[in-house]
Amino acid sequence: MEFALKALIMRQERMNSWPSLQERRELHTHELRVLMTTAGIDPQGLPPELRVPWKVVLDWDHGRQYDARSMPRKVARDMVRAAFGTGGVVEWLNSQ
Amino acid sequence: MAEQPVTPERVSPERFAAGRDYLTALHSNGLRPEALMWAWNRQREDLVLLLVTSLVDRVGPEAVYRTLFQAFDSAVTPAAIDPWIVEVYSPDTIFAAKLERSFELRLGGGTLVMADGQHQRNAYFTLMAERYSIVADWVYVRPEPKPKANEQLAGWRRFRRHVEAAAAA
Repeated sequence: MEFALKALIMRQERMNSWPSLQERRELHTHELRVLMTTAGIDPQGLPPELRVPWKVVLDWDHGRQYDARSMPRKVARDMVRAAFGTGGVVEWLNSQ
Repeated sequence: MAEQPVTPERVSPERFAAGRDYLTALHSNGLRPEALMWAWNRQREDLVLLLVTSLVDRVGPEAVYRTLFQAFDSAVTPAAIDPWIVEVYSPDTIFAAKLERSFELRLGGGTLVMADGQHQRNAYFTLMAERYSIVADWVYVRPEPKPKANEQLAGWRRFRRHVEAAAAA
């Protein structure tokens, strides 16, 4: 997800290499919402069918790892589908 | 940039009332969160409504969020709570476990009752290693045990039926 967003920023800004920390400090982040904003994507302006995949993807953080058991398959499948499935976030980012 | 202090005023009375209305709407339509509260996301510096439910594990996050968006669109839940600010966690996640442990201090009526028995009005606690700060007064539902699957899924099916009926109307 992070790479897909960063690739979109590179395409938008016609970069041929990733800028250094000194050049573009704000791009050196793993925070998807920050990268989303930099890429000019407004959650409120997304097509309705993309709200759920984006929400599932954006909410992922370390706190959502499972404590004393493995992640249920249903949760894992939903996360992978939201990111990489047909109609998912990466497919949409690649089409922008 | 210095971190902004977290104070109860970050959740306005209107916002608190909106969250309470949201909980009422969820309850009356069949969805009973195992925890619900406002939290200050220190990384993003914004407020989120934390909703803990084992439905995440039972029906998947996609179905939960899809239904919350549909409920919002069809006015089953209040317009003041956009699902984009609702963050849903399974009670079995690291975060929810830390949240539950934090509540072992015993929270009641906007007052934290500390382990030594002293009351601390409007106290807030920070979940270490996580991104949220939570004030005692922001809590609607403190972490509760997981409901039985059959009871919870019956409520979930009722919630979905109501949302689908409202969307079709």
